[in-house]
Amino acid sequence: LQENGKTVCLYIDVSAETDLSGLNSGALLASFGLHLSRALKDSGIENALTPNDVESLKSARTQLKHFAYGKTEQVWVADEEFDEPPDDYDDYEPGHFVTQTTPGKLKPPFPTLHRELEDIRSPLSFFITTLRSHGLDTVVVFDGLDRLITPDRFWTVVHQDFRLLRKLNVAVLAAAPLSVLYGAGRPISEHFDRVHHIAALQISPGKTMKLRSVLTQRGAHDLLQKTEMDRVCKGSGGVLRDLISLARDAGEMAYLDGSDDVKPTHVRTAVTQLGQAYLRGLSTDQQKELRRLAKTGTFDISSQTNAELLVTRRVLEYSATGFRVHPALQQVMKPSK
Amino acid sequence: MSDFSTQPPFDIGRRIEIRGSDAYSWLVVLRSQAPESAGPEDFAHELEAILFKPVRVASAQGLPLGEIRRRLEFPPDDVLILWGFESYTAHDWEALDIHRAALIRPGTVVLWLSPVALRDLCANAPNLRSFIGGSIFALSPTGDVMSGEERSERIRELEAHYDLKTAEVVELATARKLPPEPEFVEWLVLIGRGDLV
Repeated sequence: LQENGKTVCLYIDVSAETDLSGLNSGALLASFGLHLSRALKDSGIENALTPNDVESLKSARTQLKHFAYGKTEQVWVADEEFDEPPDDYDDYEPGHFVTQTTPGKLKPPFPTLHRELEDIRSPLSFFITTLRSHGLDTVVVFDGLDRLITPDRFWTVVHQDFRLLRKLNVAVLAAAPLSVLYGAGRPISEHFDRVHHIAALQISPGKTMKLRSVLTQRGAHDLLQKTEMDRVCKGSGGVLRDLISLARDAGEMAYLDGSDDVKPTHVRTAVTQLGQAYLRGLSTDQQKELRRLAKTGTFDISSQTNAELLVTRRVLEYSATGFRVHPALQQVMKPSK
Repeated sequence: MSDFSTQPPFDIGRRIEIRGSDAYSWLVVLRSQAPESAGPEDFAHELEAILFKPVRVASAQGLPLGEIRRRLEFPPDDVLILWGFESYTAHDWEALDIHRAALIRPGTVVLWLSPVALRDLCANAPNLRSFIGGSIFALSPTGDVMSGEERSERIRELEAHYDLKTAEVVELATARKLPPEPEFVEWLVLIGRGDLV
């Protein structure tokens, strides 16, 4: 996107920049604003601005900084005044007025934007408009939001911020948790124009070419015979991180054994180790569901237990109906009684 | 005992060594529950003897995330053993999991965990678990899983190979005249004299 010369593309790994566990609206906008400000500086456009625009830019940067990092200021607070009731006012009843609101019946489809988010709209808009006047559209990629595993946590963090970004005509790409595709999370995915699911790669016999090419690119053919490479591919379930971790672990075992190449036993041990890591922390209900899937091939994605198994990659989805227990986990699961 | 592969500190050290100093690697060492078992400091000393470089030990107990991050970042490239996760709740693990990207550093991180803490990590921190992969190793109560017989056998091999007796190796090490080969370090660790390395 950046290379086409018509876009400013910002990559933001949110979890590395802010504490998402507090579930604060505005955190994404603050990160976005800071990156945008930096991008404008790097673009050299600032040098061509009029003196008025330079002033506006300065003010926008200050507002943004305050929004992102907060501010401390002195404010005037009037002393509290207290009126004694007159002595001859017999009907006086102590008390004070409170504000009462009766909610209307016609609720807006989306809650109104928080006031502080509206406040940041103007400085963000200034940056975006300045870039657009030089033929540059803004695209932002938010990484790390998939770690907010449950759909409600994800939505709490993103919904207000993404709405404002949409109003500002900023294209947003976000890594979302798998849970937005299933059950209670499904309505969330409908708020996005498009949802792309990055599924595990195929591990069926004859279909491991992509996985093997990843290993080959990393020099695995020096240590792994074709058969061992296939075993690593199969044990990974098509999950790239597991693929690389298994190949590395098997190689380490061969090294510790003093072997010149990776033997079947090294791959087996590496797969077992990975399977044990997946097995640890599973509840009895989850284990029951896994055994059911392994035995019958049926998997109800609307259940909360099963959604968790998918999100934590203990169950892998190869197609809309093709679910399988992660092969490394299946290897260490005890058969049902 | 654990279902995970049991590894002596020497092998864990060699794994860390071959992964390199910028491997962005995380692993778990599952500590023994026995009261006399080795602690993270003992384990760090063994690793130092194997890796020939300092190994830092830091407690995560009661620390906010920002503080843990600071311990990981300064410095970012040494081998760091993090312990003190026993009081971690599901919420604490979830918070750590969400911020996995913020915890990434070039140097190796060893999480020193009890079996219960490992279970909680696996249940509540799937991203962190995926990062660790199968690099979970169990230590025996003495911090060494080689049986007495295996240990004696390995010492006999070393004695035959170098045509030296163990007592002579101790003498050479005491006099700081021991050759720098890693096998001599292993030898000293095997006889419980890692202090001479």
